[in-house]
Amino acid sequence: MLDSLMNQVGELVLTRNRLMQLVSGLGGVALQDGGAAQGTLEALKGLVPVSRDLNHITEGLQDQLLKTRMQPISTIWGTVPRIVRDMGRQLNKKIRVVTEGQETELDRTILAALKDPLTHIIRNSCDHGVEMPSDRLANGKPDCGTLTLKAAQEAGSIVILISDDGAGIDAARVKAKAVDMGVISEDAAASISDAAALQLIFHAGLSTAEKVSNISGRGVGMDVVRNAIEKAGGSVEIQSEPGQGTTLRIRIPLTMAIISGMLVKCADQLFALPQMSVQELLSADSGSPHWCKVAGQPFFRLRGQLLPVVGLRACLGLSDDQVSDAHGSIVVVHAGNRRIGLFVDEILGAEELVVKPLGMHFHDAVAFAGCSILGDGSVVPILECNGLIQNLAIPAEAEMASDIAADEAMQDGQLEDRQHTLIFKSASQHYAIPMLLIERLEKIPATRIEKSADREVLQYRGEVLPVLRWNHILGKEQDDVDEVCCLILSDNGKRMCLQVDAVEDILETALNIEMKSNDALFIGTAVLNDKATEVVDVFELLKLADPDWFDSRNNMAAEGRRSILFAEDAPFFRTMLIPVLESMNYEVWYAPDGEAAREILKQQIPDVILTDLEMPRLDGFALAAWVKSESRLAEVPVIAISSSPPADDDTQRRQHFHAVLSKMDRQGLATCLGELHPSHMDPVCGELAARNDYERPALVGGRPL
Amino acid sequence: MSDSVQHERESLHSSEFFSCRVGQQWLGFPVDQVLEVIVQQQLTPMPLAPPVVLGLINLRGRIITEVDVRKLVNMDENETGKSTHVVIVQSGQGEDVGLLVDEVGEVAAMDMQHYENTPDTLAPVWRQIGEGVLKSDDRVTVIANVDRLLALSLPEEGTAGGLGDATVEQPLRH
Repeated sequence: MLDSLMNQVGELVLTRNRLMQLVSGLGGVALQDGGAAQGTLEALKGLVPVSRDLNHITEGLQDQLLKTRMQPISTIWGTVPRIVRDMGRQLNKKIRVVTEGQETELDRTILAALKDPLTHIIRNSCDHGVEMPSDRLANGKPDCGTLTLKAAQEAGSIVILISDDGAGIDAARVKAKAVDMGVISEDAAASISDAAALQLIFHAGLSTAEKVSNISGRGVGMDVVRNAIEKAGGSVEIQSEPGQGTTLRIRIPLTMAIISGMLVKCADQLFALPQMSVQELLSADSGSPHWCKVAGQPFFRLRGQLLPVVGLRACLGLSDDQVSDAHGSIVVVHAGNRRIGLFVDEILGAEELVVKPLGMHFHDAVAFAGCSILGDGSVVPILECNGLIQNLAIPAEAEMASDIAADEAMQDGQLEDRQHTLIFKSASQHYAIPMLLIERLEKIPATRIEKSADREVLQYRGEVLPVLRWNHILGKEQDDVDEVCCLILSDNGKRMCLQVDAVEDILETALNIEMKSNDALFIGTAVLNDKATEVVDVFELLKLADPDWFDSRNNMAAEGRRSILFAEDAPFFRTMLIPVLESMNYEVWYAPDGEAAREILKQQIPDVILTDLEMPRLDGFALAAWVKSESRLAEVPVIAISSSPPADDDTQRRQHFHAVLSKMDRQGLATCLGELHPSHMDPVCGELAARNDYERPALVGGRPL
Repeated sequence: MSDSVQHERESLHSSEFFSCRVGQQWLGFPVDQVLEVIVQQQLTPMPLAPPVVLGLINLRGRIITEVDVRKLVNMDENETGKSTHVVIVQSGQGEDVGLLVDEVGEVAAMDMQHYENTPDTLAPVWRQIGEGVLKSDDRVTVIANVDRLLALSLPEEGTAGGLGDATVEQPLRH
């Protein structure tokens, strides 16, 4: 019943697409045909709002119907306590289950797809994660192990965390095993970090379990888990700390019924790639000096790395044309653990696709995720990147390791502080904005930006994004143009749209700020391409779009989050530092002065205290002295920040502080916190934060595109 | 779709069959498994598909796989012009599949007096898909089992992949 209703709405969406296409086509014809009867023109104009209404109604209906397909995750979590209890009895272990976010809803097809991988992971955790009660007691843990399941919604996805407080996974053993199995070379093993090594767990046939039990062998089957999750359009990663436990993080889309896809053309046929697996698009002409061949395989040089490129034609057996001497574009996709370039003839653009299943003849066709119907009624196959790559004999393992190593190198800062920066122009002045948070660049008709109450919004992939116009921010008038250039920024699960006049360039460069700015919106001025360029502080921009941007940090990150009490009276530094702290995965308790901080401390104990020295009512010195005099707080480290810190040798005034830092020293702060709570920070954010300082700003808290 | 033939699908016990021609051979399908007949329309070829699979068609928002019956029964390429009729049949598992044939005949009652088991002299492929034959004055019609015909069109490794057994053992009721 629900499925047939869904099909009907699917058809309605397709009809809507068709109508929209026709209407936009008509507009063009009418304009060209200057001599068309005035009446016809009027009638056409009348059609536009009608089709827009239809568009809204359809979208609403589609949303509502999608909601009816949603079921709470508790429908598949219900059996977990029993599985765990049974296993506990079998293994003589004590394990309790804690669930959070049971009411989180997911599309039922996705729930069904998740059931088996979840069970597998839980069995793994019980069997290999949680230790025997005697071992636990010996290690100073309670004899009863805890398995925590958490689910929460983040933008268009659901994030599920499954953690145990067991023995954790020894990265060194994973590496040794991987080398043993020939999955990666010894050199590669030496160069990859522990975090990256853990991901090797998902590799087929890798098990570090000394003995493989009948219940599960950690590693064996984890590749199956990953495949199942990726098949449902999700991703999975693992974090583990020896002695502390293991956490699996699964990210999965809310629904698979409608996805956003990238249409490409290859051998005169259209194909769609799920937007989820598309990382970036490159233009790659045959003459491009970026092409190179290694061991007969074509590669494309991309920002200092070699991107393996395969032709979509070859993947699909359409023809075995060599890719490197043709015209076309490269779609950089994420498949499994790898990044790979798919060479296509042409990229046509993005479209919302109603996913339809393929028939019985394609049950084993791993290269396809389904198919969909386009606006003109034609059928387009939707490709499945993992499966597509499977069809090819690429020495996957060696390459994966080198990819991971290369990514590490990036993160380790071997490429120094270079980062991608987008340059845009407004009234002959150049502005720079780091690419890190820019999700996409879009050219859209100016009419797509709509007025809603006192602000402007853009409907973008089923979301309503706040729109900021750069000219308005600068207090200038926005010119009337037909088409505008929009940067879609995304961070912390939220998106916004920044409309600019024109994008000039994207550079990979080190931003050397020559002159600091007094305007909070700018970090300062840098010279890029021989032009003075104002560097935009993206965080300020995000806050302009939504003052609450950073306040509703996702509840998910609460997992294993530490708390920091932050006492600071100056709003400027408060707004500057809170996002930084949050990006390091701290829960920030904010106090506007020392006295307020003391009130908080009477109630709760944070993991660390960060305080300004000069504050009204109770200053930082007095606060620290009081903290150290309270026995229950004495262990909490206090870090002071100040615009004029006391001299290094002023031990009298420094005595209560773990460290005293300059307010401008974001890097020092990151390092200091990193030393206090090693491995606490999310590795990516941590690296970024550590690389960041005020003189040479990188972005904090973002994730790489 | 001017010549579309819609049937009442309620009659589970099919005593009627729908005939169509492939090459020189007439085929009959149980009426309750034939949904409609359409004229050939825009077809999206699918790479990596078995050779008998012509591609996908959009039938009023439903996506249907189209199979070339001529190729399936190892006949040569079309001798007279292009095949233009697609018979939409429903498998035992409820999936609709399009079968490209050369000509469509009519719906006729199953005359049990002229019904015989599939003779051994027929080519193996016909024996595989045929339930029996119906002889009339001017022609011999092979009454086909839709599910066995479809099973034959699946990729070879695919037959083991889960759709297998139930589809093959679907008895045809007369």
